[in-house]
Amino acid sequence: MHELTVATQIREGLEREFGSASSADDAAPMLLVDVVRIRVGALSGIVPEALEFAWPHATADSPLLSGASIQIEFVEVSVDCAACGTPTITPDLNRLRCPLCGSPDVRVDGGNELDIVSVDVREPHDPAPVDP
Amino acid sequence: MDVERRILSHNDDLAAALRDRFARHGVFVVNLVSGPGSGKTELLQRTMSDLRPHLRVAAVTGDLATENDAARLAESGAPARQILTGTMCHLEADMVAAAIDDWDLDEVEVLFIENVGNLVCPTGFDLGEDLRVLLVATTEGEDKPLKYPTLTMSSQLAIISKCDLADAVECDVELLERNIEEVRPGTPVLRTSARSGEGVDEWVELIRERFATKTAATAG
Repeated sequence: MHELTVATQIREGLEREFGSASSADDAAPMLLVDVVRIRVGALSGIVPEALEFAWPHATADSPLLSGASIQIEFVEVSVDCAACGTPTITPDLNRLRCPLCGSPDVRVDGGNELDIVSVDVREPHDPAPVDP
Repeated sequence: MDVERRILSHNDDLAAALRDRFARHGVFVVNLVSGPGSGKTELLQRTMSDLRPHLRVAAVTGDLATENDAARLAESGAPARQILTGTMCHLEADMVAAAIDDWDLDEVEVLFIENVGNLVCPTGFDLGEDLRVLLVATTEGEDKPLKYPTLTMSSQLAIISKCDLADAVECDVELLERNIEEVRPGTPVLRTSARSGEGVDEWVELIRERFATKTAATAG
């Protein structure tokens, strides 16, 4: 629902990190980004397809990120059961129960992720990577 | 090149700064989330009126457009400020910080943040609150918590609003409560009606207790 906001936050985060000029009129960026890898958990409320759709629009005028692709790793919800100690992955967000013993006393271990994992960067004068 | 950090880390940092600021000034902060039309403003009006003899309250309220909600909340006599989000579907920490920037927080003891009516997007945005409260109206149907599990899971208290209408709209309030329990076991649930007053005393008392607990902890 707010994937454009999230795409913009990724952009702003990376621009802060890599000190890019924020518009094409400013000085040329020190680096160019070709690929951004992010991690999206099932509980984050973010739909990967919508984020992929928003990404080029959020970055079109960014000297650092214009043309960069986004690769999204989706993480299912995983829970650790306090009763029987079993870690499991559950696709059912409405019933965060231990699938083995049924206990509701579980700790959500994964699924809240919304992280930038890594980026591929190069100097502006280096050639762009060739698609295999 | 590894980056490894949360995409919303900027908001997290700003929310942490807000939380520090609220703690320094002894302000207890409630973030009220729900779908549109579930009665956040109506309940807040009543809550603020009832709290005012005991505590200094204030509110900020987020909407895409119109200042209607701030005007309604200001009828309680307490400071209320509108945050216009334009096209944004939720409040972020920097919007709250900007809205209260010129307020003297020593004059505020309880701050209500009425989020934009939306059951999805506010989930990941910490506003520095002490308590996130999910409001679900009887008119919305019993299965809302099941349909929007992420926001339900991120809330520490649930309020069922418009209980005076439950019979008229054939809402099974017990089923609604079970559905909240299903998604987030152990969540305390209050049944309220801002019109009839049902549950409002209990809700007001809960806020007074939480405020006292917070200020006792920070003062100590």
